[in-house]
Amino acid sequence: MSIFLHGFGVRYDLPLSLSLYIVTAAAVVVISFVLVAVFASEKVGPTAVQYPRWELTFLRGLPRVGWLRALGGALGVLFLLAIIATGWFGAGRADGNPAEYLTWIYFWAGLVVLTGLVGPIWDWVNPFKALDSLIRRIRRVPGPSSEGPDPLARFGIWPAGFLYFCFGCLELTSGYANRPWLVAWLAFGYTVLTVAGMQRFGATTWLSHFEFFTILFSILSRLGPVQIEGDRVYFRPWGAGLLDNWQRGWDRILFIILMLSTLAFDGLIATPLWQNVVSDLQPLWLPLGQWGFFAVRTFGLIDLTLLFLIVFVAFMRLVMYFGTVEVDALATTTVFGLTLVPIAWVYNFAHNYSYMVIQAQALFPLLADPFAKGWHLLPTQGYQPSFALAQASTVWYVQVVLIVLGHILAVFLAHLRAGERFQTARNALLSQYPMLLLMVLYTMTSLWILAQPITQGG
Amino acid sequence: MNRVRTSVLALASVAVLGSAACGGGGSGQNVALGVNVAGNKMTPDKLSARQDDMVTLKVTADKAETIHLHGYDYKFEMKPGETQTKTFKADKTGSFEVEIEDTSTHLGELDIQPR
Repeated sequence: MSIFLHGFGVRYDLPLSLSLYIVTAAAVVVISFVLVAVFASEKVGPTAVQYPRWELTFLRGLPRVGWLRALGGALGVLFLLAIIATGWFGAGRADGNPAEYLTWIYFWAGLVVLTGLVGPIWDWVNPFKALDSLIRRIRRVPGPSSEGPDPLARFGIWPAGFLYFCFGCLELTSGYANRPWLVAWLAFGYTVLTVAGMQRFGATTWLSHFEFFTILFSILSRLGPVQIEGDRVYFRPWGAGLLDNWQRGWDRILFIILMLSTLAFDGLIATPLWQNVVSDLQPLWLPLGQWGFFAVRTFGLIDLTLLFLIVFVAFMRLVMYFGTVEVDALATTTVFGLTLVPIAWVYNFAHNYSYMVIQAQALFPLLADPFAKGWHLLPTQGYQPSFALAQASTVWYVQVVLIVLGHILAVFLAHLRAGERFQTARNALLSQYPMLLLMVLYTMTSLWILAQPITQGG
Repeated sequence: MNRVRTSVLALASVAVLGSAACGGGGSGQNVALGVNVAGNKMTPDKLSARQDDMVTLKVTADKAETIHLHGYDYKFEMKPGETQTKTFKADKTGSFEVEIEDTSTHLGELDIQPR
């Protein structure tokens, strides 16, 4: 069986060289302590989490331009239809079907990276919103009023978190992510479910409780420097949006933890450590065949998620203990969870970098014959992927620079949040030592995964 | 003070990461690699060379099948007991899978390390 990672696609990465791994790990530790010491006298109180932003006045009004919104929605719908159509009617092999590339590389890896780099792209290309709007026009039915009580408020984002976990299982534990026909049917089914929910309860209501892509991308877009409010477009420092407030709740904490754990698990299952665990458990799962494979991986994902949750909550208890000032524990834990997002995002970028710059090119020859019928729609049949941006040393340096930058940003954001929560510079500084240790551990875990030999079966 | 802080951090980061960039160099060598594919196993299953080496890959198989080296995209159309040879410059670095094309059976990897 070929090495299918992210459920699909061959990898070309070499593990980080030992010297680079050690130097980067040392840099992470040194820079962390320097940051904490250097920023010790920064702002405290509510102003600590305020950030500058600048309106791009030449873009005022653009967010409400109807045809622009419609164009974005149309692109999203076309993308979705391409996945469904090629998945249903195209080649059976994953590496010969555009549905696999569009789903796992361009959408799941690419849009996640792009959203963190730019901002609320999903809001513009969300195909579910476009389809919901189109169906309402056809039915001549307006959406429910946004005023009045939220009929789904009691669910929080638990439904979205559950669906996100299911998606993680499809990608990482099912062993079926490289079946184009399955990806297409699930995309179709999820679209029907989502649009039906939006029609029944209203777009905003459904998307904010049940639709996990919308919630995930709304979290990631906080990283991006572009912010849209009403008909105005703002530019802000990268990552500043993670300081904006967020409704308190265990559902939100667990959603963030799922983001972290699914990304880490994606890398973990390609390491010798995981392969050894799976080998040791073979007497238990091998007799069950594919179901056994699914079970061992799914329990692995659940265990890793629980481990991340327990560790995070434990460290947050220490943060609040050393912060001294009595705070709303749940609200504080929720907003500190957002400060871990940069580390998760840069790891995702680092882990998927070569995958995106090499494997993404493999879509080009398929565009000439997307349904594997022997067509020649475009002159791209013989295209060979270029490795220009993905020689091993380039990949390594991209990875370590990303990891270090993400770590610096996370430490800085956590420090500002501590200043806001714990009122004095001394309390904020003391509270940051456990947080710093947590972030160093998390970053080291990311580095360790990148430095592991990549094994078959990941 | 902010400018000083920023400058110190930037310099520290560049120094630390830049120190890891030193090293490497040298020109490629001739490297001969031979593998034997029997059933679903390749011996040896881990091959390595360095960037810019001239690699001569000799493949022997016990069945009529296509052995595919990813990345470099070389296909060896094998007959039972036959040996085929391909010489190429290792200009791409990374880990490149070797598989039996028809069944997507993973056989091993060719790792090309950067100089």
